[in-house]
Amino acid sequence: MPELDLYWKSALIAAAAASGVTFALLTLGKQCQQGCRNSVMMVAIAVGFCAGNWFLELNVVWPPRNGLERFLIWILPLAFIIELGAGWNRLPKRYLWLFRLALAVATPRILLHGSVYLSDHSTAWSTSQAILTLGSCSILLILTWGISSWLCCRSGTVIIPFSFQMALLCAAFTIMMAGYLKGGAVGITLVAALTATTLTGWLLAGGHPVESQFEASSLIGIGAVGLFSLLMIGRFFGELSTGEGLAVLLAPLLCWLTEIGGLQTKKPWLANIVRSLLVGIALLIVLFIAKRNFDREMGPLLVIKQQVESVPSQTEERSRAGSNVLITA
Amino acid sequence: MQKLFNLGTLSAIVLTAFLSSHQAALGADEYDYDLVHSSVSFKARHLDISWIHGRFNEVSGKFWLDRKNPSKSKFHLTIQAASIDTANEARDAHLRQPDYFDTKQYPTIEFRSTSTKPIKGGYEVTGDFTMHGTTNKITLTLMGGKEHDFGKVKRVAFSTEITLKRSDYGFDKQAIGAIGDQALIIIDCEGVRK
Repeated sequence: MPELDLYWKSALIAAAAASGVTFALLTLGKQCQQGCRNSVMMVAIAVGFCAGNWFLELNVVWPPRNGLERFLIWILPLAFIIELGAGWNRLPKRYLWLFRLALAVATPRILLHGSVYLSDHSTAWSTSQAILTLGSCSILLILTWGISSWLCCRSGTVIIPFSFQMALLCAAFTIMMAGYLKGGAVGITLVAALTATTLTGWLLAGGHPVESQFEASSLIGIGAVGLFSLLMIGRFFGELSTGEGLAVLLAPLLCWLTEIGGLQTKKPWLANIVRSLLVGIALLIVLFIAKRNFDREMGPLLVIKQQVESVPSQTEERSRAGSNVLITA
Repeated sequence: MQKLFNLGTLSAIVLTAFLSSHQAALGADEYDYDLVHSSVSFKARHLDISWIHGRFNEVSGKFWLDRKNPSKSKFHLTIQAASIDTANEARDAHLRQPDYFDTKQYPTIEFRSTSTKPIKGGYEVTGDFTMHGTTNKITLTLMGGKEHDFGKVKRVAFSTEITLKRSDYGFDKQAIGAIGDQALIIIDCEGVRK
């Protein structure tokens, strides 16, 4: 039963918490160096994300039972730890990328752990199939992550991490429309925390190029790992199509098109607008297709709760009048 | 050599003892679940105004009936969760997703009996019921058990109904609203022995 109000409220809470923590810590520590600023932002994202999920009443148990719980308990905390390390100046970049590579290799395997794909179930993959699929997924993740971080280093613009956040929001809606509500809801709180932190950090830096103020590749890191994991969960446990998943994952790479013809060096502001438009249009096309499929397949299963309430009720459960609720299945 | 001989003898004795005890525990009559003449169906409240009916199309199982010592009878049932069928493909696809059965993570729903008690007209069977990765102890009242002989094929049938709460099996709380938390499971099972 997707309660739309609940998702928006959880997103607002995540954004407010993340923004508040970023503002408070960065204002208190004005002398904070780049590494310290990076740590503050990672903490802010984590706090915002937890606050949003707390409001969602997300029930996560140990040991993790499914792909989403493995993402929340293993993968995202590992990504936060690695990106916290990114702000530590003594850690050489090559070691940092080694840790990121290790996470990219481990992520698909962790997400699919114990599923029908990797068990002795009749539909399980053969060893070569498993290696090929998991390997391809890892390569996709590290390539998207690496190429975008490289562009961010070249351009120093906040648009690159922001493009991942747009993709993450699109992924959340697409996964929801494919029928996996909880997966989409987690995506909404993550994107709210990420965007609020990015914007607050950027505004406090006076809108200067991000790379001089904090490790923007860390924001890309959390965005890329979150985006990839949710899409993989939606694809392998839900009904998200491979085409939709790939389109959303690769959309942030469209930012590279502005590098053709030197647009970036001549007019940086124009390059940023073009980047936002390119990524935004690609994601809107995906959303349009997802909505069309949703209306065709899931539409007949949906009822607006307010309509249902006009039917004489038998219990008190449906007395929460006024809430905008879609009822499925 | 003597040691080897002793070890071999001991292994043979242990193996024989295990096999004979296993045979005894399982009783003399072993029946296979007959998919053609059996069904596992369910119904659940929809919006608290009507009922949704469905069934699982892929079910397998075995049971071992010991007529002389009924407490040694055993019942095993395995349901393929992805075979859910509510006569609507889109809804079935939705029910297979992680918000509901999460069939890619939990492909089967299983019942393994742990104790059997004879009652008037059938058996009271207690066992472990595993659904959505959560195992709870439940007690089924199996009515029936009459044997039917047709040529060389023997058949025994049982029927049972049980009400389960989805929230007891770790289903997402937010996915419970539209479809009622409680579901009535109806099992009509025919076992066949050649």
